[in-house]
Amino acid sequence: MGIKKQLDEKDISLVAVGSGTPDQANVFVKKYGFTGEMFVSPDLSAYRAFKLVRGMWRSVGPASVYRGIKAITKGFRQGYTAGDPWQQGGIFLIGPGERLLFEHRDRFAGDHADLKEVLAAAELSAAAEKGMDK
Amino acid sequence: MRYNDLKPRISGVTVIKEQGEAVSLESIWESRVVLLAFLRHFG
Repeated sequence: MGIKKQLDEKDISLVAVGSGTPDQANVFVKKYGFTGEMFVSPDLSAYRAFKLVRGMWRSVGPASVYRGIKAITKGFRQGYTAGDPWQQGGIFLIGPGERLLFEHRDRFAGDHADLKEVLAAAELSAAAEKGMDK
Repeated sequence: MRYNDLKPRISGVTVIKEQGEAVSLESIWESRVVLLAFLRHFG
């Protein structure tokens, strides 16, 4: 089952933030069929707010090259780069309101969060909420 | 990081919708649970 469907079942909205322009975001959405909501932070202020790291060696250092080769052997191909090439990403499960349920900051390119951990955090949160309702 | 640590950092930060409209970052998860994915780049 795809991640979007799993999120929908848990009533979690998928929102992406990119470092490019709205036009580049539109191209990305159409090219990859992204079905979540898309925002951009061209000045990287949203990335800085979440303490996401940035640096050339985080994109082209040994760890990211190793992950890149692994991805290529699995059939993944990187297209052209739009947005800040040195900015790293991250994943957060957040809301409603002032609740931060999961956080992961990529240390280098390819250092992605384990989505099973993200979904487990969502289940824990839902279970806790149900407990509070009783 | 706790939300209280994040709160002053996100205050006043805006992001731009695909259509070009600026919105408060915090408003995105104000009333719902969101998986917020920061992309490394487009492509």
